Amino acid sequence: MEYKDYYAILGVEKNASEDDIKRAYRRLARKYHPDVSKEKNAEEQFKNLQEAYEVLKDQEKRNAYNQLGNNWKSGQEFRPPPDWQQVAQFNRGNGQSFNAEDLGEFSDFFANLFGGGRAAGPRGHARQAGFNQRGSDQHATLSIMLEEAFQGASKTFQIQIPEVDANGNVRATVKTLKVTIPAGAEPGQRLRLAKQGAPGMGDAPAGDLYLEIAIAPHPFFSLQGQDVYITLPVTPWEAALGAEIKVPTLGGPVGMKLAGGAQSGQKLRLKGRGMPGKPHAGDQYAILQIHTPSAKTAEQRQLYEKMAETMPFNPREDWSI
Amino acid sequence: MKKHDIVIIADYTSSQPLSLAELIEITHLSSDFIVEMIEYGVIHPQGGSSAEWLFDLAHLKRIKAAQRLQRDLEVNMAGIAVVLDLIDEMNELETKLALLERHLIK
Repeated sequence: MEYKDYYAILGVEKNASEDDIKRAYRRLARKYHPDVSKEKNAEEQFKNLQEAYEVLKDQEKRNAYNQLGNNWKSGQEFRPPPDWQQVAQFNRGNGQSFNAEDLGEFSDFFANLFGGGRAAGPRGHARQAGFNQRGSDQHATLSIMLEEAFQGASKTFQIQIPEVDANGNVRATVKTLKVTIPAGAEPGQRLRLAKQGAPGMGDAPAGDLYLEIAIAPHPFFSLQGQDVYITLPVTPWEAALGAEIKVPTLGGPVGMKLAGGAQSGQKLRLKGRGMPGKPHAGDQYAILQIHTPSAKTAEQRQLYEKMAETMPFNPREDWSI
Repeated sequence: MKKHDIVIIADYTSSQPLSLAELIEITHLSSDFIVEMIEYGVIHPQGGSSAEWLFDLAHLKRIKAAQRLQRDLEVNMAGIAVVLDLIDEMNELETKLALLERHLIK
């Protein structure tokens, strides 16, 4: 297992006061809290932070941790010293402020020093005979295509559910998941499967399994609620003169009439061509984008010059410069 | 590792809402906490009285976030209501921005 430098994680000196530690924790907890943070790896950073605070805020745990000495580097391969068990045992006798669910999130390093944790092993204190603990909830993301969300689909996924055996070792059991996805499924839509999470220990029940739909990015379409957006590239003459244009929708191509005098950024609505849903389906919006061909030949250049001559037009007339 | 011998059937079309009792069992929260969330307008379950309340999984997600904010950041319920609303708003704006960046700004 890897050594963890709890002082470095909290960004405090070894001799930091309890108040310093509390302040550092609060500041970093705000920064990395997974519910509010936009930082990368916020979840992992936050777990490390909680673990570091769990040890350093408790004077006895902190003393025990300090006894490991100053020569360890973060990430270095670590084995607890031979006399460690007594320290840990002594330490655990004093009120624990964390609950079993939190402990499951902590590192092997923490688990070996202070007990509990997901890989405590036969020597771990949390796996005493008669110990009952509900299995942990599991979360799985079901990544589907936008077309599948539109039409609905039956899909098969393989998921891994961790199981702890009698010796405290964690193994993954592969399970097959057959999912019925309704037409109009939305990203983030969740399903809870009671007692299909990790098995409980002792007589305790299994955790739950939560599924969440993620829709893979589509090469043309974007989803906003039930509405579907697409960029509609048009030529300057189509925009100026109007045109009949075939536009792809999730339900198949649709003919659309573009009125003359259209401008870039204009939003055209195809009613009811978005995602299916209640009480009614979403719409599709085509956002107009005028593409101007570059003049490659002398003849093409002349054409543009002719336009400039015969169509006096200043799109910047509002600027008095 | 075992072979793929265990099959779980998951049907999104048969997703059932949760009662208050079920919600308490899942979250290990007190009913006071959940009632407070409703009083502050953080969640709006269906049904008039607490015996009739029905919660969906979007409520559950919000409740769990509230639980974490209270536990980890010591936010009170008024603060939780503000934080969760702002997070929703931020997510909406981000989706909108991504949409505009993709389809309008080249």
